[in-house]
Amino acid sequence: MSIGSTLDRVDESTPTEQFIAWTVERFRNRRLVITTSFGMEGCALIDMYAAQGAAPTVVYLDTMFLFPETYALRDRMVQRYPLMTFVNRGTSLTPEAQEAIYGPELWQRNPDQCCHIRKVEPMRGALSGADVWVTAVTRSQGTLRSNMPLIAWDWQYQIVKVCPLANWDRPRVWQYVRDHNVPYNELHERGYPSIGCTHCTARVEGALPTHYTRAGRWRESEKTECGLHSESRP
Amino acid sequence: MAPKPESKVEVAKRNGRHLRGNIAETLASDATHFDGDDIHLLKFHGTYQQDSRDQRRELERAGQEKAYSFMVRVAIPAGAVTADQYLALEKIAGGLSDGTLRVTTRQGFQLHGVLKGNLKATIAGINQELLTTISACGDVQRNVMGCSAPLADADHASVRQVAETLARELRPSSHAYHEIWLDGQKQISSEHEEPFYGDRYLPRKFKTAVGLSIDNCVDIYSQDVGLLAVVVDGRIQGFNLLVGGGLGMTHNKGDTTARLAEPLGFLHTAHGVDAVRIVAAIFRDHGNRSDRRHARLKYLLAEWGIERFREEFQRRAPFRLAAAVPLPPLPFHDHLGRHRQPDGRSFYGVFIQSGRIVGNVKTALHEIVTRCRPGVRLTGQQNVLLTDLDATGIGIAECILREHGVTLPHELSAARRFSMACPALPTCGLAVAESERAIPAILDQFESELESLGLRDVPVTIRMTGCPNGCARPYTADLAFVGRTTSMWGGAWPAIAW
Repeated sequence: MSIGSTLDRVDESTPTEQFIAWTVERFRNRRLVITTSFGMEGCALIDMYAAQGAAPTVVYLDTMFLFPETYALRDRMVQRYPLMTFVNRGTSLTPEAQEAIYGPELWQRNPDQCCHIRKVEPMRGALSGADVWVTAVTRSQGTLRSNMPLIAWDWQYQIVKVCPLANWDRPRVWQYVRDHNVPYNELHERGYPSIGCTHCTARVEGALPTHYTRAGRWRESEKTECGLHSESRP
Repeated sequence: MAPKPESKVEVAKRNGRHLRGNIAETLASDATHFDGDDIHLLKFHGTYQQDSRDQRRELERAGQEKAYSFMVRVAIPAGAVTADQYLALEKIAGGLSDGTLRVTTRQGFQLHGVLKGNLKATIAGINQELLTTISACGDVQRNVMGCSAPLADADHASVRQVAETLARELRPSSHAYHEIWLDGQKQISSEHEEPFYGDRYLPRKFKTAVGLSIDNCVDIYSQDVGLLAVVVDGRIQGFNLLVGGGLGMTHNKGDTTARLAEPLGFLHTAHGVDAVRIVAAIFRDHGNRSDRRHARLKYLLAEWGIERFREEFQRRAPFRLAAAVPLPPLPFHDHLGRHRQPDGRSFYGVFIQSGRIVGNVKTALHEIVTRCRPGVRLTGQQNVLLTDLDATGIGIAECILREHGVTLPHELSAARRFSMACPALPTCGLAVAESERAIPAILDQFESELESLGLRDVPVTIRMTGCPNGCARPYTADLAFVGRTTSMWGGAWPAIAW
């Protein structure tokens, strides 16, 4: 039986490459969308789909608060994977307009609302028209993600959500990225394990690219998640 | 008073040489159907001869033969099959019947529209998968019900085990089934062939269920006999033995009635199987064999009263019954949606309208079962549980159901979620009105009415049957439709047209 045949069994132990091949075949006539913030996992995942000869649309959300290094990485990714279409579906609300409406430094006063405006809501648009949402989240990225299935119905966005790397961790991703010469954000080598917006991402002292932690995110608050991957079952 | 003569079916059974009749001969012939006593005997083998009710009058007018076909019923104790068995049944249904599988209200599967020429291959094919159709119908213990949810615990597991033991112990032991369907070596019928049932079997059908006081998903008070596990603090203390329930009745015959089972006593779990055997034996020896409308155990209970029945039971039992444990009204669960199993895995309950696995539900189930190889369990509410899934399996199941447009359980209105309907027209020979074909539209109306009253999520059980015999248990529902005709005799003609 060939890889990805419709009769293949799929479960937790299915090798990632085979699982990805299956998603490509199973959803052949559907619109697959990979969303990424250009973290190391996302870059690795894009490479894996490219390796299968698949070219799903890659959607990212430019929050207008990204690091210059992240924009540079985006450009390198676009160059490296010419068959893939990279689309920005970020908000059109400029930082100035946000300040005019919600007041200055919303990310400080109400980070949830800021995330909502700049990420959670735009994601709705990013996924509209898509049939399958592919993301690179892993269970090792925190307790809120620890039960992430490889594939599930996402109740928040009402779409099939696929997480091929659910069983991976950062050391394995790092190994993959090195082995396959996948572009990655240079900030990873400068103490930024998880990279979001400039205002809410801090350097973690002594952090190596081999280790993942969300300690640098929303350092001042209890918040650990922007809200894109929260499990909200009915 | 001289004893009344035995009914026609009793004679058929007695003359049938332990379920043989002329079935084998007719099966080998070109005939499109069976005649005479064989029609009764076939039921014990798990099949009903039927004809298309839609075409009956037209064919009759044209002077043609009825459009005969067979319903084949698989007896599955406590409703548990494997993924392979499910896929095999699906294939058999696809090749040899009308293509659909139907979950019965007793946790079995039914195939409809099997032509006589395919009957043997169908039954043989089912047996090849280590499933059986014997005693799924007929005057014997029918499919034994038991909660099929792979929930906690020793409790649910032991209930299933008792159900399986009962099914095995009270299965007819005649070799006829093997001879006819499985090409077994022919044997001479002897009086020792059925040590328990004898040559006339039971006076009528006999329905058994093993239930739990914490979850009455088997509708235990509607059964001829019930072993109701009394669960206290998560442990089974023993069984309340319930006897004399039954829902079948006949319109315009005031002495026929639906009846709830009543408690006979309390016993140790180890005596459960023997207790059912004793109740069945009392029924065998004292049940009415002259009038089939009064042949169910419930009429014996009504005639004797519970005290006399208990005396007879004690006379035969090597153990004493204690007083039945008083129980509050029993809760019941439909087990739909996602649930954790005690082993850390999960199961997912899928709603099946009227138990009919067809169209998008069929396609979705096929893919999930192929892809994830779950256990497949049937519930007494005609639904399917996909068991032993890991987190990804649950995810795949939900995605595939969604993709095929199957409504997920929590999106269903309560009215639809708890509804049930029997097959009725066009296949069932007893039907005098529509049921399965009519209920979807009626539920639509209920939904909008209840919605407008703000009662969308209030659980209400709505059930429908095409005749008063009650297989979808209308008399224990909150609200039910029971088919009847407009003719004053309550006969089978003309059926109400929709």
